[in-house]
Amino acid sequence: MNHLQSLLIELSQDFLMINISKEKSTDDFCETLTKLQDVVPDELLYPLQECVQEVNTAEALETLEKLMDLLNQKCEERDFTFVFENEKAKSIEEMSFDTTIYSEVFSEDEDLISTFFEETLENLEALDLILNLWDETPEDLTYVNDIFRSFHTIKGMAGFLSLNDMEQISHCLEDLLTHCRDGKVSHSNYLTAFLFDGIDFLRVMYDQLLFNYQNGVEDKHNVNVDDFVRKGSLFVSDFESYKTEVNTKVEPIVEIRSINNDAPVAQVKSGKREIDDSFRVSTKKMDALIDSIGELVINHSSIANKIGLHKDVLKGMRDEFSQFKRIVNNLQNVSLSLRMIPIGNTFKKMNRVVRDTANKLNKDIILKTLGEQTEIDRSIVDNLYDPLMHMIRNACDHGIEDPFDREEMGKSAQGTITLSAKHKDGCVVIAIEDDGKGLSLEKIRQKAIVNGLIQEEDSLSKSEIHQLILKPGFSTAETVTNLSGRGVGMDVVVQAIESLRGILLIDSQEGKGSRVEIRLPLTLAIIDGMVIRIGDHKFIIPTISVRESIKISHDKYSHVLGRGEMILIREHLVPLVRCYDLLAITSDVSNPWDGLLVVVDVDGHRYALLVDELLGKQEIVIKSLGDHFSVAKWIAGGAILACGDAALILDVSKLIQLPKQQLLDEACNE
Amino acid sequence: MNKKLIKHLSFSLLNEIYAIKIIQVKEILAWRASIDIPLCQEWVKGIINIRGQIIPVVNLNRRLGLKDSVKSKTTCIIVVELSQRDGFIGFEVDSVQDVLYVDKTSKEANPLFEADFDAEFIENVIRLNEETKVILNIDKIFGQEDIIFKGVS
Repeated sequence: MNHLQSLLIELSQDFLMINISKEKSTDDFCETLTKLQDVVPDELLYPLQECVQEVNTAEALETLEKLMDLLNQKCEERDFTFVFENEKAKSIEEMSFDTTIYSEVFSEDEDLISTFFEETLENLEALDLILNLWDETPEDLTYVNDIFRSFHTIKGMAGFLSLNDMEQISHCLEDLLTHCRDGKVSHSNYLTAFLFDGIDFLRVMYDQLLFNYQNGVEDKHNVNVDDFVRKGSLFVSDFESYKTEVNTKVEPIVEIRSINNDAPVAQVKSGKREIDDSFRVSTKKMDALIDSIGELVINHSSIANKIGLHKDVLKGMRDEFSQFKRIVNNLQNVSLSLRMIPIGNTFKKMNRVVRDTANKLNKDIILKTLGEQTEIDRSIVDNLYDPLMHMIRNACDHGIEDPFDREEMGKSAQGTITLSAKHKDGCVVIAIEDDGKGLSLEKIRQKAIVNGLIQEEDSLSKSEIHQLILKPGFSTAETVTNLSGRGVGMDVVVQAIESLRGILLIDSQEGKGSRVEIRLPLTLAIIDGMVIRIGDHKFIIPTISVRESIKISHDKYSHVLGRGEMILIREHLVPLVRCYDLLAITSDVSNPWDGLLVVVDVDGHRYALLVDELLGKQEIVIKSLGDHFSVAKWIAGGAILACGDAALILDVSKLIQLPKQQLLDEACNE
Repeated sequence: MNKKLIKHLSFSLLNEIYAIKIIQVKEILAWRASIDIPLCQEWVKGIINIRGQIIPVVNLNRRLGLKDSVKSKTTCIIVVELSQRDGFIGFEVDSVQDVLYVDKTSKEANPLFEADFDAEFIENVIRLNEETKVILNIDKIFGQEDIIFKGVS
């Protein structure tokens, strides 16, 4: 094994030589490679031979880079010291090898690159803001998590595009924040200054990359990555000497170079490339547009009705008026379609995520996608990329086993991840399935106990244990890899999904695989609702929270001592909720067997809401009600019914928490 | 027209003339029935749909603690926007009167005027064209958090 290690070092040195003087003979290098053939594991033999053959051709650099990665991974797996890693990092640093990688990267998926630029910029801007906020309230540790996540995302994106410098810097910052989170490093001016420096460096690199990309040049940024990373670790290990170093040495580590667009023409190798000129529009503006087009449609039809009464007025302008109608309808269609896009593009990006992750992990994984044409609200799609990427990476890293292990278990060497989307019950269901090792209940349990999430004596059901992995700060991977992180993954995912009004379900069978299902509303602005009537009032209950609506016979009703009124629904006792009582309104029915029961699901518990009748189902555009309604938590929003009346949308989970009015009144009377 | 003059909209309520800053007025609507809502304050009439927007409507008389007005042909709903809170709010008035130009500098309360309601709701009392006009502070009148719904503990 030591032999392999020394050969690797030799190889990296030869590699370095070749790069410095491109015309230098590659004989030495070939010789080392040939020596390597005798010692490397079998699976590396082929790429190695390929490399030897290609060493004199133009593709050599690319193949070499891949080979180095593979070797490096083998080294890590065998618990080698990281001499080689450092060696490599240094060589990259010294030889501006990065720029070669940039150009290689840029020939890849354009889509991914523009996403990278977009999201990295977003994250960098967000970081500035959050860091400032944290500086104002250092005791608020939620900021640390936010900062950590932003660096984590940048690291992930940079990692995929093999932007090693960026990855290293963000990794270093992420490390530092991990210590912050664990309380080993506390907030200080030195810390924020260091973080701000880091953000600046990332920004410099970002600007350079963008410039390179747009002008087709291969300039290198002049950030001293090694020095920064060294300072980062010094910060953690020996804060005092860090302080002295920073205080004595004031010279800037980086000279922020202005990137001007009138760079010498000679520098421009290939023609200018431009990032697709799409831009994001705030949802607020979009909603305002859609709302006013909605108003226009209503206004148009009322004009049409009035004109219809005076046929002679219409005579002279029938053509114009029908044209007007066509335009208005068209406008409405366009405005609605603005929001909806097929999910396929996001799925396509996942192909690359799988490919790259699998390569890094040395696994053989194929991604199958189904239902790419499923349309979903644009604002949802925008926010879906990150959670999906996290989950796919998790599936690759923690789900799918090594090819060797798989064969031993009688599975095919190639792992499969299936990503599917479909419309179901008025929502979009996105599922990520893998045929890997599944979730280990015992491991999760132990880990949760260690992390203090549960107690030793707690008995949890299978699904409750599965839910544990969604908690913040949980990670089952025993080694921290730079792919799926340190347990920020799943809680970020859950947060992202919940902010989209979606839900996330996990199912897994040990040894067989896992399935993560995300249910999302079709759009954030429109929901399916049931219009119900209680007395003179009409309300809307979002269909997503409704299990069923039934009529019952007298004998299903019972009053259980200490638990109140219950309804027997298929052998389950479900508490009865008298809506009219909670809302203090008069209703036509007071007996559960006379009215209709709407069975709702709130946090896994069922409740039977007593209402007078169901008036119908309707697609409902949620209207925000403004601050004046904010005190009433039981209202989820407002909507306009088909008849043109305004109605309130009930938030069922909050509604059932309302105090009973009757009881209150009695209490007052006493 | 002097530069210090601020436009106000005046309206009548039980034969008294009131005014509010016109900049806060979003629109004036013909009276329409509102939809009842549960658990609201006793001065709330309900909600109305104005071209797809849902706006709560308040009975101003009750909010100020005055006796109810009789609905007539001239009864209207004035929709206003508060300076501190998001969203619109409507209130009923007996009739809309005029646009007044109020001199900001002549800010003297009329000592003869005695309000039947909370003095906090009054911004100023002026005399213009031989008439007493009470300028209301709608941010105070409608600004509290539970203006529409009773707070639930």
